Amino acid sequence: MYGTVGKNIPGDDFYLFKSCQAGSWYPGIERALRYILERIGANFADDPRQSSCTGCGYHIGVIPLLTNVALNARNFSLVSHSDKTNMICTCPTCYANLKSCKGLLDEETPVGDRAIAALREAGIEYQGQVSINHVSEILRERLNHLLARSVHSMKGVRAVTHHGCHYSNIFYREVASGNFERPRVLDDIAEGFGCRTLDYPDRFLCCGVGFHHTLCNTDYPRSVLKRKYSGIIEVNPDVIITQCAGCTLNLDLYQENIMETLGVEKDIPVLYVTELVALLLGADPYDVIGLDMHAVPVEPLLENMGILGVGP
Amino acid sequence: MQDHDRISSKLDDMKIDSYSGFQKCIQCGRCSASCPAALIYEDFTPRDIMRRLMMGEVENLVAGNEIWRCGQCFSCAARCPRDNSVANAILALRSQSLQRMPLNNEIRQIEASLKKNLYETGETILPSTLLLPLENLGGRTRERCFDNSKRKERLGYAGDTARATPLPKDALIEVRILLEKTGFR
Repeated sequence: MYGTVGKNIPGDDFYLFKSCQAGSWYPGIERALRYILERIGANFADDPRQSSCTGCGYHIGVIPLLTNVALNARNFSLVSHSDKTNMICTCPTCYANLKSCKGLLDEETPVGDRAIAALREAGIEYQGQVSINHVSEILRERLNHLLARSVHSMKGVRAVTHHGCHYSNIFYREVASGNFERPRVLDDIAEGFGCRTLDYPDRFLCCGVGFHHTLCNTDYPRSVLKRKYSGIIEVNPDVIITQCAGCTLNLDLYQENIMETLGVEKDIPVLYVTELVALLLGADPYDVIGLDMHAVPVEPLLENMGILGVGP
Repeated sequence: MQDHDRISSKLDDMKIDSYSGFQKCIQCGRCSASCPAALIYEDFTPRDIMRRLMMGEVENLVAGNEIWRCGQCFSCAARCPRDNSVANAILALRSQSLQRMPLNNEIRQIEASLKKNLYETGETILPSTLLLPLENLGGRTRERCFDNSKRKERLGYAGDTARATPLPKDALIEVRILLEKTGFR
């Protein structure tokens, strides 16, 4: 059960699938991705017609499965009718939800068939010749190209990684490096840039977003984060690297309060992997990535990495 | 009709049948051992949800609070030796609960916001529906982040939007047709 299956990860011809969480809170995550793809000469389509994948609402329970599948059938058709075939997601919930919906459509399930019928009634022909990928897998796949374009390194930096639950735990056999219990996708990227990654207790544990919990019941995020940060503090990293906008939000915004509760005086910057890689490729921390939107100051890390700019 | 088919038809969710395979549960408890919610809430254990589901207690589960404890991290699914998914079973139960029960206001409020967002913009989550309770954030965090909507504008994203470029009108019309055809409202 812990084995993983081989994955065919594309290196080019991407359809950017936009995340409501990233765009709402840290738009720099998407801007950094565009910056990276342009720097390594990858082709991508940026199609405004794509709707939300509705995954967040589906996992709360308030968006019905049929609506979820039908809207994503439309999204797949948009990709199929573009000149790109490889969806690239910044959000692990988009990644897993799209894969789940595609499975229901491809396997000709009752809900998939009803979704395709609804699509037909809207005048859209269903096409689903697409691959679904998380951006961290793509960055790992193109690591040599990224390294060739890098102007900064992570030598001397100690990091912990936090992989999103909906990347590791839903299609748990399809983790691109390591396994669901100990995914290494982010570790491989960071180590490629000279970083030292550290193991820590409760590495598997989620960030505590819990979807509706973070909106209406903060017992859940605060309890989970106390455990998560207790483990992270033990290894004393310089940065936490993430692959989910929701995890970034929770780990960043709550950190000050949780550290106070734990009686620890410590700031640990939280960086989404595209933000980090764009910085290493020379992106301006503020004008391109908007790092001043982060709650935990990133400046000490930037100085440590030799990246200019000490405040907007 | 087999027991699991009866339960499956009560839940009207195909994932409960082909994905969660709840009838295979051996009550080993790995789901509960790795569940963050089970550590926080005394009235919630994924193993017990599966036991009650196998015993046919759909009505009690649909009417209860336990199914709203789950944080949908899918630790239970990844750890299950029988390829079960309590998290998927809980989604089927939540769906029934929302269709049939006069539920707590907070979930209904979130439902209303997300549906409104989706119908009007093609997005489910917008900054206005993602407000975290300010009293649980540190003072410096509140000070640093209170102006983030202006910083978003500097990056080309308007305040209460998730996109630099909103869905065009014709795309939004297609989305609304699909919402109507799938019994969304």
